[in-house]
Amino acid sequence: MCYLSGTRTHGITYKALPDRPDFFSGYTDASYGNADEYRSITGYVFLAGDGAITWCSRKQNSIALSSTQAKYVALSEAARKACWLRNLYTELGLLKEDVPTLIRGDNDGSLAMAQNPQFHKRSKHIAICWHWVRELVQEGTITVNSCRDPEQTANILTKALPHQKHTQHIAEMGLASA
Amino acid sequence: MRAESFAAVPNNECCTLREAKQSPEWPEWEKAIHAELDQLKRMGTWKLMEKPSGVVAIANKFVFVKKRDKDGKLVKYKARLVAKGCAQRPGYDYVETHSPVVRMETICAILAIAPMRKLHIQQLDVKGAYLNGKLKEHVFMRQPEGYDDGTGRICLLIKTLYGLKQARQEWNIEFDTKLCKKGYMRLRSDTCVYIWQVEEDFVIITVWVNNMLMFATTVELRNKAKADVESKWEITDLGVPSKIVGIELTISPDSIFISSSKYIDSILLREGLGCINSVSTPLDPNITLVPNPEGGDGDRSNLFASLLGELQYIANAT
Repeated sequence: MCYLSGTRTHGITYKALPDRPDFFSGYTDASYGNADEYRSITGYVFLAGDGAITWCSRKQNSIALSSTQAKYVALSEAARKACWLRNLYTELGLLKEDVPTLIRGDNDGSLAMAQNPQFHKRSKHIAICWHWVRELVQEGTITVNSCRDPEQTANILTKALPHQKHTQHIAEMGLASA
Repeated sequence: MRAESFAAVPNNECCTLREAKQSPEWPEWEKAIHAELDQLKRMGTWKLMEKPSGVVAIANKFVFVKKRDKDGKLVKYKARLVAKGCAQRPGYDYVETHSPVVRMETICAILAIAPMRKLHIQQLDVKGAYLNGKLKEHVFMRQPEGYDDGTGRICLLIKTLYGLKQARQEWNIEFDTKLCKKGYMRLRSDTCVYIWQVEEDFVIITVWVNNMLMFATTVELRNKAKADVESKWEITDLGVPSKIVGIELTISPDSIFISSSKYIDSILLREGLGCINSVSTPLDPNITLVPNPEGGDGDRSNLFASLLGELQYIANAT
């Protein structure tokens, strides 16, 4: 509540950026095992016109055994949202189907798993449903890219951050005072 | 179809007919009541008839609301006659009640591309939207509270009066049918968004109950869409939108700014935190949250639940 009091005039600004075929992209992150029952927290945000259009921060349904697994789950949740956004924009005639949507994750392990269809012994226990992310990457629906902590905007949606990082990520989502 | 619940916008004082009659603003309220009764009559909402035996007529009441603009200024006194839908019997007086509203994400997604594509945005309201829905079931209602003609007759409802359980759904069906007839296409990814395209140009309509946003590539298309809606229903033109479901919009040629400061203000004020010191982050990173440290059941009151709901609405909207 105290935080709200200080940010009541904050809002999101959508800017008129040059029209590009890949005008929206996402960030995804997860914090490993820091919620109650040792579950992990998914955070993702999609940006367009330098402003956040959709975001999410929630406890994962399953318990992850490694941070790679937690981040992979977060990546697949973000991928689902990306598919929905792509459907929406395609139906509105704003998106050409063949341009993949970029999602930036911050764990090399989970990104390698998404890009590489080889057998991973340590990841075998991840339920099959998460593996359709790989299929999306192969089909060219999404592309994944590495993006580490200082630039990882979705970090803010997974845990409480110190002041400096908090303000930085907020600005990256287009949030500012009027 | 999915009905997402949006938190109601607070700060709209309501009272009963008796309280309204005693208030110094009664002349204003009386005018509003007459406007409402006129509209109900014009729309052919019901017909008066002798009470058939064995019929239970549901009650009704007036709801009084002061409408405010985005700066919190009083713009309109509004009286609305509502049926007490809670007295309706499921399966007999109504069957289905769900109705979709546009997703907040969809609106944000379209708003985000609006400056990029130089879209023309306009907001329209359908007046007495629910009164356009046709009631399939036979529902009887007493005559309006305080405006009984004394003959003992009751109203057989023809249109879906506000407060009826099925009002939302019937209005949505009515809206969908008529708009599709006009050649608009309903999106599959969000069933409350419609689009009409000619080559590179298009107009998008999003609908939240009776409130519509139009996004068009050209002024002509915007006017066409407005005329299409106007030919079917009575509308209020709100021009360039400044407020939608409690969220404030500031639209300039090269950017759009959305926020919910009035909503936050009103919550802080109600909780008695109008001028507390602010902090820079929502949560100290060094604190570990423990569920219910004092034990017991915690605060399960409706007030606390509605506060949490309101806070979630803010978190999901801006």
